[in-house]
Amino acid sequence: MPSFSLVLQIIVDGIANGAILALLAVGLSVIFRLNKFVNVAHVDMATVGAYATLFIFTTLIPNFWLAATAGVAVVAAIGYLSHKLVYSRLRGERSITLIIASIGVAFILRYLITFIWGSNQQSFALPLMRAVRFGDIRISPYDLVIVGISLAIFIGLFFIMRFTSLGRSLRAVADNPQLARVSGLRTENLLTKVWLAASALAGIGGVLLAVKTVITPYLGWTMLLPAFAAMIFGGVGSIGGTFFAALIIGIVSEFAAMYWLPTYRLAAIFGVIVLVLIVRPQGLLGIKAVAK
Amino acid sequence: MTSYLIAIGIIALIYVLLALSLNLQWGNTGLINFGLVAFFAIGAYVSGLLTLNGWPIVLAMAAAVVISAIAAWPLGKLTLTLKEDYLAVIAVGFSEVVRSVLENESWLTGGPSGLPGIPRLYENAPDGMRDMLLFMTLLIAVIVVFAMLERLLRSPFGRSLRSVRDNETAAAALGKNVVGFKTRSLILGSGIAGLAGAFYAHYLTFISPEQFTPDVTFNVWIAVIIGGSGRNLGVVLGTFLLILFLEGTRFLNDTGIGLDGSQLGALRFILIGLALVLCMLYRPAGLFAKPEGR
Repeated sequence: MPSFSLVLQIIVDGIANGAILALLAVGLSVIFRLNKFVNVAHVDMATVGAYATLFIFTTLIPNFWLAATAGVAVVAAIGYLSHKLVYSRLRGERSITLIIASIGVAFILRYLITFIWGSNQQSFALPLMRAVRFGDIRISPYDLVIVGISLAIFIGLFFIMRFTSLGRSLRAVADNPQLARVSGLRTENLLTKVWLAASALAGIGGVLLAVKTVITPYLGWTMLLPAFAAMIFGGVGSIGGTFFAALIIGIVSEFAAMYWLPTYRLAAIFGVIVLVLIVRPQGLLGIKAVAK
Repeated sequence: MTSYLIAIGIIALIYVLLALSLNLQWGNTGLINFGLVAFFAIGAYVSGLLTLNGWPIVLAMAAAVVISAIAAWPLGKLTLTLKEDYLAVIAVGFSEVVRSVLENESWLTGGPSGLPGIPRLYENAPDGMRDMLLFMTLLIAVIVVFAMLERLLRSPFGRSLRSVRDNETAAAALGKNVVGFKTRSLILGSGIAGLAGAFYAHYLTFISPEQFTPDVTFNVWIAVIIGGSGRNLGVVLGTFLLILFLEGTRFLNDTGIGLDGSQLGALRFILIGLALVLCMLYRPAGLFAKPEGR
């Protein structure tokens, strides 16, 4: 029988991982809702964020937070370019065409990174910090910052979606693009903003992931299935749902790593997907299933 | 030189089988199977393990086909009633889970160090002849599969698959069981991928999890897309182009551009990515298709 404090420790670690996952999943989810396809390259934006930050941090700006901000700006710019050059030109095509184009974009990004920086593990070389103790539980200060950033971003997203005209317009476009357009909303403009924001969030997720682990060209790609799981578990397009689903998935995979095998995290997440599709295909907070 | 050509020929024919399998699933049914390599791996491991346990090769290969096909059923059951994106991502995930099982269940699969000593086809043939005989056998297998698929795709079943691909709603309205057709296409294609895996295992005599990464899947995808999704002959041509490209870029090193091995591998995938994007933007029906011919 595992001790109570061990279980609590696993949950705390899982929440830290889930907070990062949420940042990756939310963009995937919103783009799926608005553009009607799963943007496979979205998770590779996280990798771009990590490498861009690493490059800027080690060569240009020795302050980590400033370097990370610049790195995230690079990701947003690349997200914008990929939207303009590829996806917006394919608007109205079937989603199968868009998915294949996005796998192409993913390859270009990932292997451009491999080409330039090689596939060896790298890290930000941040100073080690002593874990903060709460009773028997230890929390790394980095984890506290990570959860704080993620939580702040999600609260911000919630307020934007609920209380601003931008949020109202986005919900209108998601519900009925044609109706939104004839009502005078500039759909293209809105979509551009969404792509910028979604890519930036993925970039932030990538930087935080790199703070916690190591940087490789596959950093983001390994998050595809977890992010997809968080998206469908939370309900496609639901921002709050994605956040909570990501936390749950973080916790589940941490338990799998502890009591099963660390390499079976992915298998556990696959199990979550299977369960969700069988029991509640519309997800936690989804309105309807994405059946056709 | 001849043995080098035969070796490339064997790998090319194995890839042709994979490409024909994907062409049934994607080219004719519109299924985005990004997890093709899982069924290739299952076929290889089933046939390898069974022969190592004393099964005759032919029987083991048949079992590999059947088990790969059966393994596709739950995947289809789970995803084929949903939007096509679900199959795409869940299939990639499935292939990665299969690989991690192969890596971790050492008691069965040998773990990361793989399965050595898998019996060859024509073990008793003299050294020079063995690969030639294997090549001929593979060629016959490819021709049989090709002919079978051509016949199938011309039949009412094939027309139904294409109607599902082109307009699912219309197909359903005409009383076609859309999910049923998709499932059968996924299962049949996976069986063919399993056959490719079995040949692969008995040719290399050694298999390990790292041979079954998603890279294999996307190599086959590019072959099918360049060849013109839907047409078997075009897909065969696309596969040969792919192999030419993969083998050709290997010699790029000798020309002295000063790239190391991993950069060369990366460059390959950058080009594959570019090709995928450009194909989707300008020639979604493939290089060899008439611009409007879908």
